[in-house]
Amino acid sequence: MEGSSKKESWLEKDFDVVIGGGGIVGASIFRELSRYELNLLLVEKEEDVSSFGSTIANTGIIHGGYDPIPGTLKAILNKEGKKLWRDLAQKLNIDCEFNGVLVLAYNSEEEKILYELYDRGIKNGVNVKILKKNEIKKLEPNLKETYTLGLISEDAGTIDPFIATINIVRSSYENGGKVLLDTEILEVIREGESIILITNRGEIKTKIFVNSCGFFGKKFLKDETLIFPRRGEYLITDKNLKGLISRPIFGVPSMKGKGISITPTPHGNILLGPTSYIVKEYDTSSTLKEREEILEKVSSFIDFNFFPYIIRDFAGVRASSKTKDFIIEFEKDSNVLHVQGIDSPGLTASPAIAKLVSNLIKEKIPLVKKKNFKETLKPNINLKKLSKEEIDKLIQKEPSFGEIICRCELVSKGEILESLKIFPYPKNIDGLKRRLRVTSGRCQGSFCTIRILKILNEEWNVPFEEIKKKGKEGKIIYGEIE
Amino acid sequence: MKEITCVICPAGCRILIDKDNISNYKCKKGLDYAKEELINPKRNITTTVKAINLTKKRVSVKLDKEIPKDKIFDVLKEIKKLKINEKVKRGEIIKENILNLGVNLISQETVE
Amino acid sequence: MVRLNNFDLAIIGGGPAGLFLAKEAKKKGLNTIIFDREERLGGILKQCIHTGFGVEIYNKDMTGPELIEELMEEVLNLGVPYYTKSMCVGFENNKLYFYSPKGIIELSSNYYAFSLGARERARGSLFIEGSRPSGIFTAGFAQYITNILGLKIGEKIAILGSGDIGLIMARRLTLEGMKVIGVFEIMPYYGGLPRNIRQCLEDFEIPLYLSHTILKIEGEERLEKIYVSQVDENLKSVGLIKEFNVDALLFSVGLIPEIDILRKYLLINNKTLGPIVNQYFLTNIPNTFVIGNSLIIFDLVDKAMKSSLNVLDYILKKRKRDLEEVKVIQGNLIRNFVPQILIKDGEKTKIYFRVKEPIFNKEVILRENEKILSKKKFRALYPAEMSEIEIDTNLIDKNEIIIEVI
Repeated sequence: MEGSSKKESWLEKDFDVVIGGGGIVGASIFRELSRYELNLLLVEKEEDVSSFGSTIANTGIIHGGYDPIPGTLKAILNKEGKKLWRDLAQKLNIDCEFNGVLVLAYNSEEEKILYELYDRGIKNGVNVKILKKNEIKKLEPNLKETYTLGLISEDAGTIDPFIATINIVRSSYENGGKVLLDTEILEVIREGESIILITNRGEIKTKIFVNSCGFFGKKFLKDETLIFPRRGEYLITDKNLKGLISRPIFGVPSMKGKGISITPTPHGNILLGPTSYIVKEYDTSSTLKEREEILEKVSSFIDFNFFPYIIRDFAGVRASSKTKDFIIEFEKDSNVLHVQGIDSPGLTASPAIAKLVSNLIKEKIPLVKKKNFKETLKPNINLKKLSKEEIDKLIQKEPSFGEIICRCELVSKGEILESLKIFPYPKNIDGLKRRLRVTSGRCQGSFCTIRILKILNEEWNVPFEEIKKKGKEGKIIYGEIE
Repeated sequence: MKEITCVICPAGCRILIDKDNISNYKCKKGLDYAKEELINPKRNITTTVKAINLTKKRVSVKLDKEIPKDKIFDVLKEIKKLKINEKVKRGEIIKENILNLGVNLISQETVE
Repeated sequence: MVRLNNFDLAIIGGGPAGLFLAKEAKKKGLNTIIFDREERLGGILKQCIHTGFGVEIYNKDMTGPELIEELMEEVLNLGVPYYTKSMCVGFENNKLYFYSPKGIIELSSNYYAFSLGARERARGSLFIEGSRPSGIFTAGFAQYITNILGLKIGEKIAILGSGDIGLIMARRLTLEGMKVIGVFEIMPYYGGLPRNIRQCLEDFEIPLYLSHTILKIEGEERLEKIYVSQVDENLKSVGLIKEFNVDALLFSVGLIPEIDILRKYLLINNKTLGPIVNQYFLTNIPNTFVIGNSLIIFDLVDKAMKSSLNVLDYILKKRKRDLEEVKVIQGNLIRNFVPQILIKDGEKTKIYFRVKEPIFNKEVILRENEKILSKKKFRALYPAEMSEIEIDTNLIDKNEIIIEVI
């Protein structure tokens, strides 16, 4: 079974390209390469794609492209990626919103920086506009009116990075790409024209290895010290604040990066953050200090008490490069292609990174286009997108769509059952959360978790203690009481 | 010296019991309660029993009388040996005269 | 689609408050129907296998399942129809909709009473530093896992919050062979009933750490450790930080009225976090009442049940429209109260309230400017306990009265 943790017979063969890392970058490259007649494999060390690293802790913004320094890979790929996302989101049923992104200046110093961003935007050839106070007020009437000037990129937006990664992997799989989960690449051995990947479950031989393992791939670089981890923390609110703001709001950037924003997600929650701290190792714990920092920055944008609406905090680590740009290149004397230091605007750039990688690989091995590449995905059933009549008809055909399991996010048993059958398959509660949003609502799982456990216990035919919240050890139940 | 929380009224006085000496109570009910707790504290147990081939996994049960406090875990041990595999009615006796203490284990609910 | 109409009273939420109102309404001749989102009626009481229920209403000290069965017997004997597995999704064009395995249910009723119960405050709204492993549960969740599914939630357990649910779970988990290493409470006094402190903690020598809070959580995928410290009178951490190795942490830090589905239309009181109502528990939504824990968190189920009869009172009295309204203002040392509005219909009624901090030998009064309309003396009253004060609406002249502690 593809995507399983068993070593199948097809692993005995050699691969043309192995992609390391099932995050948004690895997934995007995977899909792009699945357009071609290649023996293609994606390797992910966790039990599921989109479950670790930077993909699970970013703001989900498709950036305008005015922020990166002109001429850098970041600038070029941000611009191209932004264009590609609209089409991709539609083809692959990815929740997104394109209402633009706003940057605000609050004094003359900051206005100078804003004009710098504007210049950069023009040089980068992207959509940018300077806004006067009254124009900002029209767009975002609930903000504190202490801003003096604004900048908007009207074709920027937000996207769900989990669904994006999952659906992109699914599309690649449906086009013949193979996936190996629970497989960690420990060592990369360069042997002339081939690469041997030593994993925790055996050896894989391939012509080309794409190191898009994020932070966990820095050890394969010749100079590991190029990459340093930066932690960012977020607070997330429930969905009762719809209409408070309509688009991501940023202040002017600083040395640390774009800064803390208020960002409405396509699902209706509001993300506050991220902070930015250089850490020594992969540390995703939340701190009081960062929480206070977020609330303070946010209060400079808007006079609103978010406190009663905050349902969760989370933190993630992004891999930044000392070169201040993406590293996307083959090693001089081997077929290892590094895709490293992908921090912001990594999510935005992903589809463009994939195209660049594909072009780089073209120079090494012939790429023959597949004749029947499937561009689209069959949409999953989503009650929230159906009318009452459609839902009623659906329930008459299959009653489990009428049994609501997650009250906060309105997810039915039928949708959960369906999700279990769609590749890449969810492996635990957090996997279902990323696909269906169960447990991520206001009650944070206190109603639905039990019901989900029961469904998984029945469908997977495993005892309760084997169902995890996340990862391999995150079990919820310890077994039966004596 | 032991300190116990009186349960008679919401004031929840912390009554001190030193061997046979009771102090720090604010009313007679408190004193009586402390005396009982000193001489012969009693408790009930509410717990669940495993159910097999019924519509529920566990049946909630209780004792029909209080038992001496120090017998709680012994009685529990006996209860844990039980399994219910037949329909049971609320109030029905599941196990009679546990550990010869003169108390019965009864079902809190009707389970088919 | 299932289309239901011609009902006098539709009750959404088949827990104790909803069931009690349903059977009393039916007894008084109202065409009543019950909806519930679970497979069985009974609400949260199905998993509350401890005693303390029904003392006022049935004169018996019953367990949750016993009380529910008692109520269900009456409901069934009276022939009140009910729909289970039916999730209310809100109003549209004056009709109420539910999703259920039978299809979409469209309901039209003269009156609606929502008894949706409460939700538990979870980690997200508290903020504790550290990682986000599994092994962190709310006490109610742990109660379900233990009592209904018969499963273990961990081996070494810490409990945050000394409310009754936490105390009851401390006992329950101990009886089932798990080790509860302590209950941590941030306030200098406990939040539950003295009876539970005695019979759940003292009986099993489970330590109660007052004025303590949990600072940090550690554990990659499953909980491994918590860091605890004492707090001062401003609830700020002071002194040494203690470590405890635990693999499960239960939150018993408060309940919040569940009224999310009506949030779009309801006026909410920011102290109760439930809807603003008058003394008949009527909300700003026409013909719509909210009762039980989804109105205000009650301390005793019996109180929630009894007070639900206010709805019946209103429906049967068929009172005049456009009666003058009196606003009830929150005063000194009152934490929250319900109703926040009184309609001057010449009847006697009562206001349910809680105090902010423990009071001893004080009075709670209702006054209109300087005129005291009602008063009640308390030798001792703790924040966890809900009390009530009566008021005769005839005595009110102005449009504002204040409830306070003096």
